[in-house]
Amino acid sequence: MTLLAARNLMAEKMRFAFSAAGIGLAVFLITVLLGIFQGWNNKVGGFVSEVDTDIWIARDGTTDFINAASILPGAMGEEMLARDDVAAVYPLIVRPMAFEHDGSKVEVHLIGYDVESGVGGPAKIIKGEGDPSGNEIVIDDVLSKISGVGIGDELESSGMTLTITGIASGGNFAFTQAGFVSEETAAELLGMGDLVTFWLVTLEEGADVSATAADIASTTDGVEVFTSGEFASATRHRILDNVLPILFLIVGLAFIVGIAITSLTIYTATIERAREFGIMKAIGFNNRDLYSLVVMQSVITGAIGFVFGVLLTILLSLFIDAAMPAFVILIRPIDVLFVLLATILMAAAAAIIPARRVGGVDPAIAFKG
Amino acid sequence: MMDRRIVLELVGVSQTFGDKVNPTHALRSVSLQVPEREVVIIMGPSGAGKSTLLAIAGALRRPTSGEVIVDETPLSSLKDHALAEVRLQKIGFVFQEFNLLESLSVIQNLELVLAKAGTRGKRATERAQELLRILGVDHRRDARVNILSGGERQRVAIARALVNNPVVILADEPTASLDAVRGGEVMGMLQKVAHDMGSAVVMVSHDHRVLPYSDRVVWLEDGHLEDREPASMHSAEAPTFASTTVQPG
Ligand SMILES: Nc1ncnc2c1ncn2[C@@H]1O[C@H](COP(=O)(O)OP(=O)(O)O)[C@@H](O)[C@H]1O
Ligand SMILES: [Mg+2]
Repeated sequence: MTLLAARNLMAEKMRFAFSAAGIGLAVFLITVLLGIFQGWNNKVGGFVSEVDTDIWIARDGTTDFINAASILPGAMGEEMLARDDVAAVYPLIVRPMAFEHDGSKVEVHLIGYDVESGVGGPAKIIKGEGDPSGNEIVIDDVLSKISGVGIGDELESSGMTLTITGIASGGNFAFTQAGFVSEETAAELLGMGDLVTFWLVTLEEGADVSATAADIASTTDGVEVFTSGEFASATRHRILDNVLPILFLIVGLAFIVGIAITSLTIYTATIERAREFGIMKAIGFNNRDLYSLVVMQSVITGAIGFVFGVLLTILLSLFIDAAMPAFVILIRPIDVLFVLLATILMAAAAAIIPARRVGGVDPAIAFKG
Repeated sequence: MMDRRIVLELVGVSQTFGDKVNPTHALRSVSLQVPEREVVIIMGPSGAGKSTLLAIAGALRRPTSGEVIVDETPLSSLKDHALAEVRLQKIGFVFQEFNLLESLSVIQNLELVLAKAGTRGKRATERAQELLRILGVDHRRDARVNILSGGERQRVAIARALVNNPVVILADEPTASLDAVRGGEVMGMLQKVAHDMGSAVVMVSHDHRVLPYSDRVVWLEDGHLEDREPASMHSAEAPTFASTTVQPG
């Protein structure tokens, strides 16, 4: 039966190629969009969830990490530390800013952190040194690729000159990329005095994070308090909520196009072979055999389309990696599995109408000349 | 004739097409008994109901009324999938247009039907090969069906009809698409199948040249069936396959 399905498909090579390509393109679209989604999800929220702290305190009205216009007094750190349930408190200054390098602009999402503890600092150093001191900066490797600046290069702003001493990974936020400096350097660059953007609070062993966060929020004026998990997901949502509906729409359209193309070709193939289906019925095959024949044809088409689509995606993501480093496509095995399920669903859905048609074929057709 | 098992029986079979206002009575209470090994030829004018009769005898169509009994099983009590099973196991079909599956090779056409009946692998290949040899087309076993000549196709079709040892072979104008030589060969094969292997053959034909190969001839006209003596139709002047030999090829 599988053989017959394969042979029937091969009998019309052009049509088979066309429908496999149709499914392939749908698979490609779905995989790429999922990859972009996962890439962003990972980059954007990833940094925040990597920061080793329990609670983020921000100025009232702050919604997420990227769009933080938060300003908090330096004294708040002492206040927090005075609490029994708080083990440690770290300042974090976050502000997008523009530097100059050889007369060209370099946009950096500046992060000033407590270098001694490393909390809020680069997740992983892939080249050079971490722990930037006074006039040093560690930049994200995506930023390094985009701007063409590397270790030893100098960045200038507000009369200060910073030397790049390290390249880090994990600081790509899709739209902007991180540059890490010490908290003191950030304060000086931005003229913030003892003001900070966030206070990062680490709790004593056994303290209830949610309860403490709620307590800080109710006893401190003008702040927004997030648990680490909340802040990471708020950051993800902030960025992704805008693109998600469009993403779903395109995935949905790709799905429908895949079904339509496959349906149409399988349907045409079925109609053309109506006589053969009638003959098969006449010589003893039942409707179930014929349904499975039609479904098998569809599934073979889907499987080849799937392989084609995934290969296309991998090729494209290699190309994108090289050409547009910020635009990360992350293809996880689980997502490929999801796309495979989607393809099987597409193939099965595409077979429904043709299979019904087969059910209605009169086997007595075989006696007609 | 004595004591031969009846493998196909039609009892008072009627088939009406169309509505009450304008009915077509394709068959009017037709009865027929076919014992094993017998070659029965159904003749009659066009539109007489011959194909309809074969479709009903072959469990492809349920008659408006009456009963069909295949190998002692009354068909009216069977569900659709059981009818398909009867067609698979008990009946072999040979059609005017051969009706092989074009995308498969000769042997694959046979193996597909064997597989459906549960015979696979080496046993299936051996069975298929044996039949192709008996029908003289074993040298074509791996050829695609669409490159075969009409005569070869019809032999393959007969081989396919035989794979599951049917009790009866139903053939609708099996020689109509063939020249005289090939037609004669195919008739010889069918007669041999009936006499050597035991399957009954019920065949519809317009062609008087098939008559020498028959054991019995029935005439269908206006939906009524009656016996004819083969001899009375097979006059000295009537053409035979033997007397109308054409260039082979
Ligand atoms: N499926 C059908 N629907 C309606 N009428 C039919 C159908 N099949 C056959 N008939 C009619 O029944 C009669 C007998 O047809 P058929 O069995 O094909 O005759 P034959 O094979 O002897 O030429 C014809 O009048 C034909 O038009
Ligand atoms: Mg007819």
